Amino acid sequence: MRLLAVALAVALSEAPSNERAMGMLRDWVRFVDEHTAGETDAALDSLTAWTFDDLELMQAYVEALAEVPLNTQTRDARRRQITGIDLAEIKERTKDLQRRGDVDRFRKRAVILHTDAAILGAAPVVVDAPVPRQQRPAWARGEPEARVDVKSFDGRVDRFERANPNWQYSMSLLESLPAAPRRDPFVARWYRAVGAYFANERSYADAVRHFERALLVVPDDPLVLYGEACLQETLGAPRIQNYVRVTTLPNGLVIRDVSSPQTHLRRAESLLRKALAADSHFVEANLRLGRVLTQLKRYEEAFPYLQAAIADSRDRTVTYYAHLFSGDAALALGRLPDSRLSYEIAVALYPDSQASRLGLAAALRAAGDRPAALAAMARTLTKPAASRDSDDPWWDYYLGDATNVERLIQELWEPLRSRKP
Amino acid sequence: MMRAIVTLAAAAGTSLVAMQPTFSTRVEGVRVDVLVTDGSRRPLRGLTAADFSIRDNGVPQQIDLVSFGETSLNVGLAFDLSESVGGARLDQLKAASAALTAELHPGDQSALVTFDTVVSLPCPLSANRLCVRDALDAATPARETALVDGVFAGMMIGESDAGRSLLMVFSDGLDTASFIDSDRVLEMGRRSDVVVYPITTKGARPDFLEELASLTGGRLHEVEASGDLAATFRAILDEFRHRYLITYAPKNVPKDGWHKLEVKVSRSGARVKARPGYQGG
Repeated sequence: MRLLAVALAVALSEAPSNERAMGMLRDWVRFVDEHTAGETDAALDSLTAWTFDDLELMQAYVEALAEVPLNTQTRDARRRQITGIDLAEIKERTKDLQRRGDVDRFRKRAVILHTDAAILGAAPVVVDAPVPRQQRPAWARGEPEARVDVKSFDGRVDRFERANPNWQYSMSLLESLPAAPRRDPFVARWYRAVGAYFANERSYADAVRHFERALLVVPDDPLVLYGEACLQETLGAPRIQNYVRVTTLPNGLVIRDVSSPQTHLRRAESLLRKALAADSHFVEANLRLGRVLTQLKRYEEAFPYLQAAIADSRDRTVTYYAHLFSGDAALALGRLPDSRLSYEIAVALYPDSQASRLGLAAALRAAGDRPAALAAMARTLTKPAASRDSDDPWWDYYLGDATNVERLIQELWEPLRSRKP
Repeated sequence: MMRAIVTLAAAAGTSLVAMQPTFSTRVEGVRVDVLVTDGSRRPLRGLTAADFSIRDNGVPQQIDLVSFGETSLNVGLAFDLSESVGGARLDQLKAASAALTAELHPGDQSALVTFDTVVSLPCPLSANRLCVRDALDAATPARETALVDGVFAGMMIGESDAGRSLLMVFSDGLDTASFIDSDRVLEMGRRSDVVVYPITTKGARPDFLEELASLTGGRLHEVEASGDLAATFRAILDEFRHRYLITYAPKNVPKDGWHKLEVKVSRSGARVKARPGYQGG
């Protein structure tokens, strides 16, 4: 055992330096220093000129430089591939950063560099549908597998894209920030803002991994809990469930991460309850918990949360949603006057909104007043479709936190625009 | 509930015009649209009231009227015009709609509801045969699919007028954008006498449409992507026209709640398709 250990150490120290990787690492430090947060500048262009394979090669080097904790097997295995000579140089460079006195700021700027590379950088890498490992020739089965995401629109498969490794960089680099005595608030801000970005892009594959990591790193942040709850609500919604149910992917591929509607809705419920435990006046969390409970057909339970949202909301759209969902819950329970009243308030808030008018028509029709039901629908149904894109906030409901995305990303960029604090 | 015939026994056999029944009024008459076919799925003609028997919650009922091909039709079309229905599929839909409207009789009416994310009513129920063609010529498929919202609007339009009501729903996909819960529309189906015939492309067979077709006494048709949509549309219209309309006044059953219906025909080999029941009250 002792002999083996010695032999291994010798082998490591004698392994040649990966000159190319070390050169790229020196460039990377320069990119971090020179990039202006939120701008497409030369540093960002240089980084995005790296291929995804380059990025995957470099991840271990960057993690070593930033001193990302070796708390996963994957990360540990990656780190072992760096030779002793290179590791020694990386340690020296880390000390240089520490001597500069802004190592945490550097780490945050590195997070932003990779976030910007994913958001503002080169076009996505479109690939063929991957072939599952067991269908590959024997010699190719051991090759590492990059994650591939399926992109679709209106329930149709559009293309396959390779997952962008810049997100993994950002999440890893965040772990290099101090966790004790308290987590740097930048971490929660980043998870919320990028979660909103994924929601806005409807990039659920990225969002699932994003929030899995978030729950490990910032498990009690109400805004992050809320962001994941929105994601779970969306995954449980008919739009995703229907798509997954009927979509057949080539090569026997299957869509991952989507469970039954009840599973996702119950996860959303649990996350929203945690968020409300931290902040009982969190208006949007009350709203969404009410909605999730109606989706779980627990209508009676939903009302207090929807009422709380109505009472606390200062936002017309949130109030609209709360009345819309109250109308649906009351209709499901056969409380037709209550349903009608809720829908009427929703109509008053957004007079051209389709959802509120169809809901009102359903309530009126169930009460036996067909002429009034038809009249309620008429205004929206006869308006030219092309002019109605922004008539109804309902169409954006499943974007969740995405309505705040621009502000949240700006708030992320603003304090890190310059290299100096 | 079924369309409640408040004063119509007097108008039996002629028309069911000008009824504005409501759920809150008492059910005095029930109409049941029935398809009777032989072993080769061809409509059986020439049946009279004596050939039919009907049980409402297990209680035999006296049939007041059986009509066949005498009542004008309200043909509602609810078409998915979302992004995926572009190019050849839209051309098929236009050709199929033209073929369908050409088969309508004087007195029949048609309406068109279109839906993507947005639900529109370009053609209210009328005898205007050109409206559907013009609306589809002007259509530009876009956005996502509010299938449930579109079907809800289609049923509302279809059931709100006189005559027998058929709703043909075409969609090549699944719901991605609706607000209305599918359970609410299924509940409406239990209370409506609109017969729904969904037409979907292979692979997209929403449970919701299948259930709605079954509840209303219709039938779901699946077509190949390159299939003859016009032939399917014509076949549905022909089948619907050759259905019987049975009318009876429920007796010895409570008016509220779900009423299970059993319709039978005393001809050997006859196959009967009708709605499984209706919601009273």
